[in-house]
Amino acid sequence: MNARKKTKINWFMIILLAPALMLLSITIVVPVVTVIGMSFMRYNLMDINNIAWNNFQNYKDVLQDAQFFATFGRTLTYVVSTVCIQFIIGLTVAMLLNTRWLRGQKIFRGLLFLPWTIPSLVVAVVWMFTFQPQYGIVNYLFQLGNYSMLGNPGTAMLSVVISAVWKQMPLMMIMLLSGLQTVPEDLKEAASIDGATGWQKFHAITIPFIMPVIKTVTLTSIVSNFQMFVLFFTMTGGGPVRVTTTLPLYTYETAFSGFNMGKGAAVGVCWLGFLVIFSTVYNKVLAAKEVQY
Amino acid sequence: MKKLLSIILLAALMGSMVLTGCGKKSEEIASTDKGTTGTKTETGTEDKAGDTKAEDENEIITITMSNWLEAEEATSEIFKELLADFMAANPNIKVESVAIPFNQYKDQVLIAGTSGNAADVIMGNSQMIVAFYGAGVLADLKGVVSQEVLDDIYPNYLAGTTFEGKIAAISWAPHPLALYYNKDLMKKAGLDPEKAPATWDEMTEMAKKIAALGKDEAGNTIYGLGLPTGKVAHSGSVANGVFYSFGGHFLGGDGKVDLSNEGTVNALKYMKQMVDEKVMPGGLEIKDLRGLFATGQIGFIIDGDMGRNAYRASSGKGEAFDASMGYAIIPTGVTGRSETVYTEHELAISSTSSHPEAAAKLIEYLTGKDAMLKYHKSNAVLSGRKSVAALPEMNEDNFMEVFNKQAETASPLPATNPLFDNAMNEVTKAMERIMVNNEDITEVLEDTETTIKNMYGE
Repeated sequence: MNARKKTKINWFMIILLAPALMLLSITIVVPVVTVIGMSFMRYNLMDINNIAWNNFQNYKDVLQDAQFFATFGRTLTYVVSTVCIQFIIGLTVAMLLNTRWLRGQKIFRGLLFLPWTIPSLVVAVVWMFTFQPQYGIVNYLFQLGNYSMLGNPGTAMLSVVISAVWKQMPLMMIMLLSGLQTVPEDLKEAASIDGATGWQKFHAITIPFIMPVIKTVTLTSIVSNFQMFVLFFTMTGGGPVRVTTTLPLYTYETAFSGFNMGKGAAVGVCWLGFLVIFSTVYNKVLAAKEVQY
Repeated sequence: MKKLLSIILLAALMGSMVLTGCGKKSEEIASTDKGTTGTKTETGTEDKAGDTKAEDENEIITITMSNWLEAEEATSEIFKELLADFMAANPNIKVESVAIPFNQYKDQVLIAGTSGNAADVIMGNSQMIVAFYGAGVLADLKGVVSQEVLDDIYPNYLAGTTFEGKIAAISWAPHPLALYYNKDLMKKAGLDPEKAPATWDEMTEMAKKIAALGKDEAGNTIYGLGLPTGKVAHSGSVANGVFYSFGGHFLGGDGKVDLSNEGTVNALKYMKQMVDEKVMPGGLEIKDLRGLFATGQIGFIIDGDMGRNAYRASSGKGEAFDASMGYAIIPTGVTGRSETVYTEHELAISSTSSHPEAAAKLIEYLTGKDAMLKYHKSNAVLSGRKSVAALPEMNEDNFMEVFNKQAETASPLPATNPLFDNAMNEVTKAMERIMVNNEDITEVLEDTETTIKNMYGE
């Protein structure tokens, strides 16, 4: 009787899950499998009727391409600086908003969250105007004359990082704030009674307590910044002198401007592999720092 | 339970893959059908089996035309009007427009073309057409488009669309680059605003005098000359005209990449010197330069005929800004000729078209007098056909006269390889290294030449 009931429930679950599984496989699994397949093929847009296995040539080309490694380095520089800066600012603002003495917290929270609601393309255009050499407010405030922040190799990446942080920090801030609001006050009070300093409470109670949130938001931010295309494509187009050509732009250039879909796919697979390994290690390392009370 | 779930997941995966596989197969079949049913006639045109009767006078045949004009606000209405006029004049031909946004155009047409699904008539620009030709998407227009029309195209324009002796496309709306100058700045610098420079030396002297004005009332730097030297492939394309003026080139006499030549080195030395002396801003693209010119911060700029509307809009003065603008053909350089390049909108016929005669009729109509006069009236375009370009209606003011005159000496972009756009991107990066990074010109050119040669497979 029980066994029959269990079987019926299982079928019911499967029927409910099937549409979602079907949809996921079509929208996620198939494209990923297709890209992996393409990366092993001679797949050129100029000769699309002659797609053939090319004996790992795409991977050989990628790994022998100095541009790929330079691009990978630039992408890492962008991701690390953007995520670190937005984490520091986001955590600081979240802690300020979590204090009891600050009035109008909801208004500040709403205002600070606004940049995140603006589409990336609009953010890019707004910051291009902000950095515009002749009329931009940045040049006016810092008396930079006609110096082009986006046109100079020394400051182009910094400019994109600033606009990315401005756009993404609010989400980081809100997520961290939600984490901070779950830290039990009685723990902090007990620590205060034991003579703990503010730093000791932050370091030994707050951080371990919000570690699951930190782990999730930073990992999400790392992955999404690895994929950042719109800001670079719109603000700098990868220039000047390639200093802002990151992996998404390089992949786009290779696959669509260079018509070499096979090599473009191989770049994507290398990038995917890196992110899978990195995410696994990152999760394991940070999971060890979580505490259970 | 886990087993069951795995089975369902696998089934879902296989199902979706089968769906994808089916899609591809049907495309392949369609492509094969198109590729095998056609036979060559004596005139060299593609004639499909069973198609001979299709072009009977009473039978309506449908052709398609891929374009980006219908997808853009500025040209959508006039384009539809031109097609309607053609269909009214040719009641047995129905034209269906395949509108694709410009940004996706090249990739979409390439994919459609290489899988055998290209439109009958394909619009493109100079950089696109060479890629379509390289992918085998285009038919040879010799014998398809009437000889009378082909003879009427300016020889330099026809040369720009002829690859390996085959006419891949014909010029529809050419955009030669000419010289614009700011009359107000000329006056301020003590120069005659009605006397444009005749040589590069004269222009350099004038540009230096304008740059010597220093700053405008708002404290913005005033430059004498604006040449695009950064950011986008377009900058590299424009540089070809400057290379020619200094006796240089991108392709050598053998048609192979040859950047490290004396003329090109001299052209880049000149540009670098102008940047160093603050006569010219470095590392900017045409979009940036247009903004500076429209706000009275650049004396001379090289731009296409479409620049006038951009300056009118950016200046905020509309047509009133015309009073501040002067136009002239590019000054002569070491070759003693007004050297410049042109880009253009071109029309081609797909190699898999079932109705090449009808497609040719459409091309002949669109490039002909009636359509061009309408198009010119609506969008101030030029014509690549001698008989049309010479019409008084096409030369109604000094602006059009200058650009039509410039068209006579404009050279095609050296777009002989499908990866030409990428090559121009490399040339732009080379200019950025020289202008912005202060790297050695000869070294940069040698690097760039090697990169492009590898790209081209030379």
